[in-house]
Amino acid sequence: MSSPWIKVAEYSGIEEDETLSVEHEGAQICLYKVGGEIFATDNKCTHGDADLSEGLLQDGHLIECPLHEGTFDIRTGAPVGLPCTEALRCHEVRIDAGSIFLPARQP
Amino acid sequence: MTTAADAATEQLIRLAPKFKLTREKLMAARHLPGNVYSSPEIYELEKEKIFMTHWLSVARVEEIPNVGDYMTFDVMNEPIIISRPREGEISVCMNMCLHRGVAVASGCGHAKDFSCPYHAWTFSIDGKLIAAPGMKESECDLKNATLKKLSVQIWRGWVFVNFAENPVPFHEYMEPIEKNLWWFQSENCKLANKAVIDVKCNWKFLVENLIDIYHVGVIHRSTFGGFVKGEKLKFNLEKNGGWHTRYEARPHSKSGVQIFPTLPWATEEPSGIACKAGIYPNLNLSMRADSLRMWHIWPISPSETRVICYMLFPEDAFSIPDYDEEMKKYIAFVKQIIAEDAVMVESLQNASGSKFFVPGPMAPLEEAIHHMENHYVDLMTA
Repeated sequence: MSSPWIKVAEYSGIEEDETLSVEHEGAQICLYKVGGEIFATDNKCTHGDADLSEGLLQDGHLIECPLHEGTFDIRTGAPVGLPCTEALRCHEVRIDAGSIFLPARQP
Repeated sequence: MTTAADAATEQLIRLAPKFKLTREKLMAARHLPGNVYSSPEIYELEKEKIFMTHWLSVARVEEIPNVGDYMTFDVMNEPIIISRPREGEISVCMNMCLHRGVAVASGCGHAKDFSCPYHAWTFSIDGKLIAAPGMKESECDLKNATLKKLSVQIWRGWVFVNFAENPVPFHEYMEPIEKNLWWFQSENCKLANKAVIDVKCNWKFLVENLIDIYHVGVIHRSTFGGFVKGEKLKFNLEKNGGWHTRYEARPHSKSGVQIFPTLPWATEEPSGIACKAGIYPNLNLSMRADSLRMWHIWPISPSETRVICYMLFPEDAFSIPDYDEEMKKYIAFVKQIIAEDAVMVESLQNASGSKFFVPGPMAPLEEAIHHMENHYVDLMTA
């Protein structure tokens, strides 16, 4: 039976308070490491045409988009600072033996 | 060092003896000298003294019907954004980024915010600054910053704006003419179409041309012509350069037959009813039994003007059989009228720049033109 999780990166491949953009099943995903924990969201901002992986993590769990400096909570995808108003899609993450996995699409 | 305004003022002073001839009573008056239609300095002073001080109609409310709709417009190179930020509210602000002045919005449409195309400063659709990326370390206080707001007044479905800091209250300005416009119920009509025509002449020639009924029988024979007899027409002249009149005419169509249904408020009137009014500086209101028009005259340069004719009809008109075909014919009819006039006004423009042109005497039928030319002199020499 095929595994429902796909490896996308090494845990040691992201620095603390940093982002990493990965491709996963044709989509651009942004990984974050905050307090040792890994989070994942779509990489494209829901407000403007920009990649969140090029933004800065602020105040713990906020990712600030580089284009207009609006923010989202990376734990829930909720828009926090204007001009962001639409929620960001989050993805479940699994760590196993030093690797980061994202869920495969259900067959 | 003389500024352009100084040069214009000097030119106006030197024209004083010619203005005196315009100021004579109608039967003895002469038209304005050519210089006011061709001088670039006087044109700039007109912007300052007239267009930046008067209430100007820039849009119909149905052009931005839903919350989030916006459109852009330009008055003598002053770019503005007209938007509907909330239910029941229309906002107009200057379309210039607070950073370096780039236009933040373009065209028209629907938006949640405007992101300046230069450095991505972002504004709500009514001009509040909501993001200034890269500016965190700036010591300038950008809290509460907004694009400059202009005074707005909605009147009978039209969006009026005023660029002045402290404009004359709108109702005060309209008061002299307001009660005479029973026939202009544009709030009970919908915009059917806009005809936009560019003409190579000074704006004032077109404003005057639109009430120059003296030429109708000569130029517009094939469209809506027929001579207008002076005795049958009386101009009512109002303060602030306004005027209104009523006369009998053929229905406003190529065939002379009424195509669209009668306006609900004109059913008791004769079918040949024609009403007209002028609101200074650049509006010409026109009514026939079945339709309303408001002509807007916008200066582009001393010798170029954009004419926008808004065609309005009550609800009923939109559901007549063959509406699309009849509307196409109607628009072509309106454009043909301007095309017939364009040849004349472009010739006037040419003469206005010639030292050989001597303003001629006014005709009795030019009473409204006399009124507006005198109002112009009042405003420009104040």
